[in-house]
Amino acid sequence: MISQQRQSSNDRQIDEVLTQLGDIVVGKPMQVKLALAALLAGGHLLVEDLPGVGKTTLARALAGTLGLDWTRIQFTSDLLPSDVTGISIYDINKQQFSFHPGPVFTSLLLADEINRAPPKAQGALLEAMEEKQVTVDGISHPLANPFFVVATQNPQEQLGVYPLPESQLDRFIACIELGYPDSSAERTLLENGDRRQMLESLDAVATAEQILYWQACAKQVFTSAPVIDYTQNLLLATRNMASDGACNIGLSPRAGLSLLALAKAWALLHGRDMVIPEDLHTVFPSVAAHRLAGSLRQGTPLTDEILNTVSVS
Amino acid sequence: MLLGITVLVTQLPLLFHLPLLLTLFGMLLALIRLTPSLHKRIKFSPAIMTPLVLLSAVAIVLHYGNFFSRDPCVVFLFLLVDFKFIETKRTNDASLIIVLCAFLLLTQFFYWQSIAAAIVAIPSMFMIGLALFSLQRGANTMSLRDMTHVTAKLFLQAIPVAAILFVAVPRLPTAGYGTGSETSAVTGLSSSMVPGSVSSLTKSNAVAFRVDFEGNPPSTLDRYWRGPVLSGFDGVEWSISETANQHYELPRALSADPLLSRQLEYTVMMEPTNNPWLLALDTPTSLPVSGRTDGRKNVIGHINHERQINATRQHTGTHRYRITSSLTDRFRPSIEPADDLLYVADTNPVTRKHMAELRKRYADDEQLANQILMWFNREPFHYTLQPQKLSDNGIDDFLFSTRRGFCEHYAGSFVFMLRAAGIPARVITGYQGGEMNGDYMIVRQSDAHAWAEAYINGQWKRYDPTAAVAIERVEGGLSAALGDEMQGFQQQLSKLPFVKSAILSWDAINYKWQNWIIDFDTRTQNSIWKSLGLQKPKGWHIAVILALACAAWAILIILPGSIFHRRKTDPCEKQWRRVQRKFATHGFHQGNYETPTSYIERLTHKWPEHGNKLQELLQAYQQGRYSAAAVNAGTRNQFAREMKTILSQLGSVGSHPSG
Repeated sequence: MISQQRQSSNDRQIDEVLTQLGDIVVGKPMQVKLALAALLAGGHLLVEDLPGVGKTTLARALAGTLGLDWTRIQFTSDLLPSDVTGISIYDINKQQFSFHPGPVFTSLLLADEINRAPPKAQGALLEAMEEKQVTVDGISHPLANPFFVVATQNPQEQLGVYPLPESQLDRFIACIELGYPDSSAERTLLENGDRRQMLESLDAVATAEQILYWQACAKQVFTSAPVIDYTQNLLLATRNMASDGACNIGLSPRAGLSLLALAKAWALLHGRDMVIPEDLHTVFPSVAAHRLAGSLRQGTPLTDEILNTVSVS
Repeated sequence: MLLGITVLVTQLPLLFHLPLLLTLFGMLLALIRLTPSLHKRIKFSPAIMTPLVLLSAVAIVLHYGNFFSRDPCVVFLFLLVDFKFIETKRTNDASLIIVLCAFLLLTQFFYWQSIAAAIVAIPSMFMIGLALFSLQRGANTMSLRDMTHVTAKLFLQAIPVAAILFVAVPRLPTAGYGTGSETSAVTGLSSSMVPGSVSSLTKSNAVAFRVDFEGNPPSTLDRYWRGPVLSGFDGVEWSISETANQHYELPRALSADPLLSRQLEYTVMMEPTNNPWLLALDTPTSLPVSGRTDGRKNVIGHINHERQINATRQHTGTHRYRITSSLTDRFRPSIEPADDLLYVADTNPVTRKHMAELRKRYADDEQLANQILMWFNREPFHYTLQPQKLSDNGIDDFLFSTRRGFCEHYAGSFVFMLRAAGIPARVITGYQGGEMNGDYMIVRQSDAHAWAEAYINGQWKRYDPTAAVAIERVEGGLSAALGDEMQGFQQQLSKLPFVKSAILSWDAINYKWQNWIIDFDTRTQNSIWKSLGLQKPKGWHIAVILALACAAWAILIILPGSIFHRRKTDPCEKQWRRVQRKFATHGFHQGNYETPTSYIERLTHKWPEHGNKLQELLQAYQQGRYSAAAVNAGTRNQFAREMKTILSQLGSVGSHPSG
């Protein structure tokens, strides 16, 4: 268990991180917290939104504030798997193949418009996310730790996209939508000009080691029997819904674990050493919606319905 | 598969009661069906089945000589179950088999009704239940283990219902099924006596009857159980006289005899026998009355002028009757003895000559009889189960040369001697003795005995010449008189103390079983109703009581679950319910899908001045319910107390709602 003192210092630092993120990503405290929670839960984040609403800003703000190095891949329809993972090239001087690491070898990877790339390239990234390593020519290359992917995708009504299959969607612990800022936030944004300069002058508030520590803390957050009951009831409700035909598939056990992991990280962000139903209630839509219906927009009505029918224990 | 085992298990106990050849053939059929390889190879088409069924029917008729009585029908049912089983393919067939098995299970109670029979039936019953269950469920949905578990549970739950039905459902005045007269011959006293007939009985340890006394049991010397009275004699064999049943005693005349003294009332439970006579302590003074009625007395036997009790109806089940006896060795008959009680045939000249001489010396009848007894006692007579073989003039041989004999020798020759001296006399067979087991007495076949009765001075007087030779027989039973001569392994074994006590306790259990289960009848039932305050319950009364009792039991089965759940309710949860109730009166209900946090937020919005308290309440609740520390029950209670305190501080919220 985390001692009281350590926990209070944790809380202070996490608050600091959240404040700084809030300064840059204006008017989106919920989304910022969810992004951070996804990172602390050891998962990856899917951001579903229109271009220009601040997805890149969020990713860069996270990287800058947490002191992580980051890269960005723009997924296009001609992207090759080796463009993600890296490639072995024959070095004439050394008379041998040498591995040139791809953009995936970083702590925070922004995979922009992931659904624009063909499935093979998507697959390369998703494999790396799952295995935490890249294998090229039979040699495994471990990825950085922590390794956090923020993938963005356009709403799927647009043309020329390769929708992620359900199995791949399951690999993202949560899916969020930034949406248009409200009027006061937008005004702040417009008054202060471009955020780019702010991002470049950003000071790191935490370190990679600290994030690993917080991840460990998040794992230790207590989940009591009533909370597990509630989780099970939620999972069951999605499965009943699927059998009624309201959605494609119910939540998998992995999704259940993701839900609990995210709820734990959420509890940690709020300075608690236990999960309360409120945590599950809050994170449930971002965990479940994209899994149930393939996209946040279509899934949110379903998750709302479930939350309004499953009783809290 | 399960069905096959059910069939076999059900049939197994019947093996002991039916002809082995036919039953084994049936079980072989079932085994063929049960063995997959054999079943595939041997096909039973209707063309083969029909002749087979006919053949077995013919075999049954050949074996029994008829078809429409109990045993052939049971055998035929037994075989039909197997035939049906072999062609079983569909679910319908299987359920028919199960019903047939249940019926077949019942038939074994035609043959025996002891506890052992009930115990033997239990596995079959369980298998029937299990087979039925798997049939309804479809065997694939549950493991065998789970099904067994559920079946066992169902059976346990059904026991009280069965018990209630057993006690409450009105009984038929007589047993609902005829046990018929086909029970295999049961040993017991016979209607005639030749030397050796009683001694063969004494090798059997089987129970002849059990007795329940009102008040103290009689002393060992008074335990003469009167059975067949043998007045007929053809020179060798003693038999029941043909005229014995021409005259019956009236119950009033029986008890009016001034010679009678101590009256003793008791209930006899006789084991099944083929013989028409009933037993009573010497000498019976009332007619035997059956308990198997609805309160009215039902006389089940009559006493003839020789004081032998004959059952009015042939009945091979266990007899159960109440009767009164006077413990006396003499009584006054209602009619004078006929001359044939003096008949000695033209045999045994030595004895007759001896008696003629003795008669000359002693004119008094009583004195003469006593002289004979003294003679038995004085001369070197031996009491033994292994007498030497006697010639045609057996009594001469016995009295003057071998002098080794058993009670029938002594009784027979004593009566012969009296008759030769001109005193009317007869042989009485019955039992002498009995062993107390707790509050009842067991009389065994080995207690079989024969003694004599002589008509002297207008009275019939009991003489037991065996007692003159071996008084131990009368006082201590057969084993005391014979010592190591006791026959049979069983009897040797039963002398070991712990075996003896085990046998006695088993007998006690069987006795209770007989008393409370088999002989549970209208009378017992009525006494139960009476103790419940109902004099003569009508049909609908019983129906209502049954329904109520079953409903009560159903509730009892269901209730523990809900009580258990209620007890599981967390103390914090309890306090939280109080919070909900408190604010629900102000229109703030917590939807069951609403988290506590958002509920408190709503409340805080309504009553901002109580925000802190409400927040504390929420914190305490969450700590007590969701935290790691709350795994400990003590901590949970602590938080529950905290919640209670905060709640009491919040007491004023209701009366002054702000805003």
